[in-house]
Amino acid sequence: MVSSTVTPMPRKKYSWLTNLPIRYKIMLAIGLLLGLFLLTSLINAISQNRQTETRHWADHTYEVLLQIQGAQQSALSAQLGLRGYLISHKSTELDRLTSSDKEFLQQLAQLRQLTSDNSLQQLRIDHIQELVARWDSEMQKMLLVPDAAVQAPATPAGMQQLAQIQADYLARRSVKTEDYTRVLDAMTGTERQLLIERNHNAERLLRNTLYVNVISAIIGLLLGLTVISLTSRMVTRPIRRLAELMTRLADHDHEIEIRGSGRRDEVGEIAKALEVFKQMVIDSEEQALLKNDAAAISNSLQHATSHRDFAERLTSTLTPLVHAGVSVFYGYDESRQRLDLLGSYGMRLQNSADAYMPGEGLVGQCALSRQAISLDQVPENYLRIDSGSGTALPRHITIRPLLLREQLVGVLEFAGFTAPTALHRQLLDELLPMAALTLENLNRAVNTQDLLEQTREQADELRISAVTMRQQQEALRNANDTLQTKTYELEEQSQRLQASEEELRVQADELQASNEELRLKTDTLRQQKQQVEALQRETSQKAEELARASQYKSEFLANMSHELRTPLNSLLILSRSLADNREGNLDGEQVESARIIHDAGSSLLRLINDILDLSKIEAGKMELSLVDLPLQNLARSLRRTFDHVAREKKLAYEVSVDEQLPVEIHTDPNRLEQIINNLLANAFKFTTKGSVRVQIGRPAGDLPVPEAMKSQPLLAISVKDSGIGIPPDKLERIFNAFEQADSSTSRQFGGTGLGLSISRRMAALLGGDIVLRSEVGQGSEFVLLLPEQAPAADEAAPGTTTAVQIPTPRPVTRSMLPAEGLNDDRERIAPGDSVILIVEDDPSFARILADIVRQKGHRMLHAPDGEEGLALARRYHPVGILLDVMLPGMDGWTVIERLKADPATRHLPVHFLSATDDASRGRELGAVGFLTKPVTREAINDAFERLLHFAKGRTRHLLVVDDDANARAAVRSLLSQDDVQIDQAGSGEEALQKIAETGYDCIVLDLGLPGISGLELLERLSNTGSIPPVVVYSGRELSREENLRIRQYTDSIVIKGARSPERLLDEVSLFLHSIRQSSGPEANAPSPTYDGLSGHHVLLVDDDMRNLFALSKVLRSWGLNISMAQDGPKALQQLDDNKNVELVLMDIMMPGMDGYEVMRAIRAQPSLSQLPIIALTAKAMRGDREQCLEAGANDYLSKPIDLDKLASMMHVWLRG
Amino acid sequence: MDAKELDDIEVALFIQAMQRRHGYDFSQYAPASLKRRVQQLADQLQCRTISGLTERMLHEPPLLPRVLDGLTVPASDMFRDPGLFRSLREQVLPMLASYPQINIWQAGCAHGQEVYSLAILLEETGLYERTQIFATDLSERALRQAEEGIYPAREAQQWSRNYQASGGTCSLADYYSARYNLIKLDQRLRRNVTFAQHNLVSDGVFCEAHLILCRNVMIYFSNVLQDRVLALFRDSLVRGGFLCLGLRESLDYAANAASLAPFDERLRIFRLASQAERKAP
Ligand SMILES: C[S@@+](CC[C@H](N)C(=O)[O-])C[C@H]1O[C@@H](n2cnc3c(N)ncnc32)[C@H](O)[C@@H]1O
Repeated sequence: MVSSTVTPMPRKKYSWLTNLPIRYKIMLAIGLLLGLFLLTSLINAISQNRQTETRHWADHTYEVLLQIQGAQQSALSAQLGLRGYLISHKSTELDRLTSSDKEFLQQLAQLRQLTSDNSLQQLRIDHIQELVARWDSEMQKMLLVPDAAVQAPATPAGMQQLAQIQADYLARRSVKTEDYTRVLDAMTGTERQLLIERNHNAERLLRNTLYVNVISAIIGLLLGLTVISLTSRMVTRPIRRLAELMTRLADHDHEIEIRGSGRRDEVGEIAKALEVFKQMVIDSEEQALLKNDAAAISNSLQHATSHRDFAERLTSTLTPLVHAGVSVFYGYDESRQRLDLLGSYGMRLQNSADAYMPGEGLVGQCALSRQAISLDQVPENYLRIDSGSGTALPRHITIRPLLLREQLVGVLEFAGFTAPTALHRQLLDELLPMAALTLENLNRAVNTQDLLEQTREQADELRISAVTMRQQQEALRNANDTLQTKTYELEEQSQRLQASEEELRVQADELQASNEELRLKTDTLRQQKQQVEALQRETSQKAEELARASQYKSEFLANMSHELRTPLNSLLILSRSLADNREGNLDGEQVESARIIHDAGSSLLRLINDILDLSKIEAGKMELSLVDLPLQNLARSLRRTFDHVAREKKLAYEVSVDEQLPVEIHTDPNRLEQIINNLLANAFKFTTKGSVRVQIGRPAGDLPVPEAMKSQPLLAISVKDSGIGIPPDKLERIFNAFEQADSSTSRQFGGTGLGLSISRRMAALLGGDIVLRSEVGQGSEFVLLLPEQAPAADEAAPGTTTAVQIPTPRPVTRSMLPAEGLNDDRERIAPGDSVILIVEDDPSFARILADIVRQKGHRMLHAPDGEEGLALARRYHPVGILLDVMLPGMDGWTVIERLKADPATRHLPVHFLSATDDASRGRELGAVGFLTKPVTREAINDAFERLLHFAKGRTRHLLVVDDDANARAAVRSLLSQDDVQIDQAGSGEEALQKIAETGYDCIVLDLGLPGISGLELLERLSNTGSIPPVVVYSGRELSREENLRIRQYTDSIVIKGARSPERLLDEVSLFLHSIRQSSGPEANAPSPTYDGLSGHHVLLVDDDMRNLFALSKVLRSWGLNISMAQDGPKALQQLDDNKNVELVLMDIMMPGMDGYEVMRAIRAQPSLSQLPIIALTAKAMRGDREQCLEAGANDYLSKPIDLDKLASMMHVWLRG
Repeated sequence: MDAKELDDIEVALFIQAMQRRHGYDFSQYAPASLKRRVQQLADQLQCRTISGLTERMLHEPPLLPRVLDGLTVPASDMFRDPGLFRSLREQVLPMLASYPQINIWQAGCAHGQEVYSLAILLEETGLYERTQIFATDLSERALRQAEEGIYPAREAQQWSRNYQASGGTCSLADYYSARYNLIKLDQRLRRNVTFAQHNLVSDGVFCEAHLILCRNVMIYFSNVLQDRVLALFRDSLVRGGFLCLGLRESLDYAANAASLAPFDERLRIFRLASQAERKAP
């Protein structure tokens, strides 16, 4: 059936069956089998039917036989009945007879019915019936009727008769029972015959049926086998074969033959499809091969280094592939518009032209038209294909242009014996563009190479740049490949560029910022410098002015003294003469007056002289005339001058000269004498008994010699008295102009008080100094130290001889300028003195204060401004400070803050005296009191007492509560001070008890206590009333909640740690050394009260605890119920728990959830959408208010909070 | 009228326009530097004159953040002036440790570099859990950047050196992750930081601060404004609280600085006199 021919597509004739589609094949096979099955079933059914019929007829026959038997029996019983009757003549017998007879007849009728189909039997039955009827009538007639006629049957006669009758009957009767039984028997025989026949028939039928069945089974089997074998042959096997072929095809076996494609069934279709598939596979493999070839060639081309190399590679690889014999490649030289022969394959080169112009020849034509040209009929004289074994003319010529982007780059020509197949064409189509591209690249590369070559030739010395060139060339070569990556990179780079630009900008910003800072700094520096310079100029001007002024002053004084002396002179003279009362016309009183006038005048004159001297010295006008002075002359002169005074005052007076001394010294004798005279005059003045001694010698070993003078041989002229002496604190003052040790003395002893001052300056003028040693009540010793050689005028001590000495200019701050107005005691302060500092710019008030201070026996310091005040406080440590608020420059508030900031001054009690009324602020700043001007003397006295009370330092009481004894001891040693008494408690209970007994100034409290905790302790204390200032000193960190709870009672919380002792000390001294109260409403400025708010419930939300407590305190004082929340979530919780909050005060800047968010969350709850909220915010910009309202606030108040405004706002919202 | 005078008029008009249009008051800034910055801003935004800038500022509301950035110079560094951070670590924080809760206000936080520096410092000294940092600035834009904590990686080197010089115990790299050319600071450092807009010129006290850092901000302010801001700081500080200024800033001319005693003169750390109690609000 299947063709075994090898040739493709042999349209073999297939049988109709083979061509029948497989579904029909299957239907046919199954149809045949089904038909056979139907036939067999039909035959079986018919035979069955027949058997049933046969069986039915057999049954019928049996029934007839039974009936016949019954009839025979009935006949028999009738015979018996007759026989009985005949014997007995009994009627019963007769009855039996008749009934049997009747029965018989019945049965006969039935029999007739049963055998209605059998005429023979019917005939027989008719006969029987006839016999029966005869039998009956004979019996009636011959037997019964006669019998009945017999009268006495029982009689023998009758018997006789009867017997007669009987015999008659028997003899005469024609029908006997046997007759019809015979018939019946015949009937039975017939029926039996029938039965046999029928059984026979049935048996035959059965046999036939069996035969039929066997035959049909055999036929079915044969048919099935045929179908199987046909299926295998016509379907399975071809399909399996096809599958095998497919597998082989999949294994790249292209040699397979596909049979059966001529069949018109499905197998044929599969075969056909497979054939197509095979073709496709072969094609695609060819394609792949082609692609491979193309790729290989193009790959090889890419390695070409020159045009010739390129052409060589192209032709040599391509020609065999397209089965051509020879090939030529021309490159197109764009610049010369010419095609140049670059390479060939299988050619003698002279055979072809070296170059073509476009349009020239076929090659030129191809170049011009850019179309492939193929020729099939090649002329005889055409080039030949040459091989070692001979030459031949090619049959086919193919000329192809190489195009790159529609640009000609070359032409390729093939010649061969066969026309290029489609595949070859395809290969060319595929390869040539690639070749073109490669050639183009090569062109470029070669160009670059040329360029490089040129450059190299042109400039050998530029070798370095040639390297760069090569790099560029390299880059150029890679340009194509990297173009794509480049664009991507470019994108990325531009992003990076943007970023770095951004960075640069930020950097620039920063640079600018630091420049800015620098510039600002230099700005300020310049300003400062200018200020300083201005100040310096001013200072030097001032100094000059000062110098000038002092010169003027001296000159003025000199003139003035002169002018004064003139009239004084006359006055003295006149008064003197009056006092002398030469005329005797004045009475005693008048004389006395005149004498007083004279005395006063003399004093005045002395004063004037002294002033004159002083001003002369100061003005540098005092001139020296230096000569050699024999010391003995000096001594003599001194003795002479004061002998009479000594005698008058009854004092011992001695002048001695040391032998060791040189005979003469070089000095100004007049000035020297003036000095010593002055000293002697003083000595005599202040000595009432004892002696005055002058010793001229060398300085004693224990004499404090000024450093500057130690370098030279010194003369010491000591004037020693046994007078009243000078207290040590006045030793220096005594040399100052217009001063004496005691103002009262000057009144007592006369004198201008200028003498010592002048003496000292003169001594300086002579190059010396005066040293003073004194003891009150024992006397004084003034020692004039002099060099043996007085310096020439201009070498003398500065400021004394030179006319005007302008001090080198230097910056002057206010505090360095001389204090104005009041003369205070700063020079007189002795150790142990109690000093009060008055900082007050009003001189008259300062003076009043000063008087009071002095009256109370204190030293007084005065500062007219804050800076000076601070400086004095630091320097002199006064016991107390009276401080004005309104001061020029730094105000009093600042002064006290500074004082309190400085550990050296923080303990100083400060009492304010001010025209302003701000006592609370003063107290908060740590002042002990505040007095508002105008003040009475009494008030000043009180303030003073207060100050001194604190100054004296009453004992403070401190309680340390800690369960750990060591910790207590540590705190105790840390805090122990002279004026502090420290008690300890080991438990809260103990502490409570102690606090009840003693009023503590401060409590240091540990939180973790046995029994009641620290916090409970605080709560209890606050319940019992006032809480003393508490510093919580905790060994562990506190949670926010704990912190909040403690802050209700104190804001001094110290967590133990490395640096905590310092702070503990700070906090405790804060409480101990000020009248400040840490808590309790009385410490706050009295806040205004408001009606109508009390009883309302307000929730206060703020993370700033200070604010939270301060505000809640105020609000409570207004009678409001306050709940507090430290953050948003707690606020929401509170609102949840506490439904009777009527108003919320909401801080905005809170960590975590800010006020805006909280308000939004509140508004999001329908039940709270109407709850009034007032936002409290530190922010004051325009948009902030809107933002608050937007977030759900009803109103807005900026911090710091104006309580009046808050109150009125709350009124509005609580009413509404 | 010379060019300088004209400029002055323009700057004055700009300041007034800024105040009335956007509510930002720059009139109290140091005039010379403000003028320079306005001029620069005009250049950057390619406005020919300051009036041109004024016009754009008035009519282009989206320009405001840019203008604010230009005027306020939000530049900063991590651990800038390592000496200061060392002192904070070794001197100041141990003192603050004695407060149960520590609030730090960083005023003028710029792009947040100092905020993160502080957070690191607190983390390393174990105080961060009970510390709340409020980082405020005038510029919302700067604040947003601060919240992000993303900086150019280029900076990381210098910052690491600063960090080491400030006595850091770990490596700065432990606190940031680097990607591309950026670094992002660990956002856990932000957990106790609240960033908020706050204008030192107009706004008030909002917290009780134990430490205030306001570095290189007041340098742009006139003395009057400096004084106001110092009052603000003084009122915010708890007694014994600390204030840190930029190394080139001083309190010399500020009357309100009276209660602020130098704690470290060279590093410009000041301390509020511990006995001076201020008024309740
Ligand atoms: C140079 S930065 C200082 C950054 C950082 N504190 C430092 O020292 O490195 C100045 C910052 O101060 C902010 N600033 C300027 N004026 C302000 C004001 N009135 N209120 C708040 N912040 C202001 C600026 O926005 C800027 O971010």
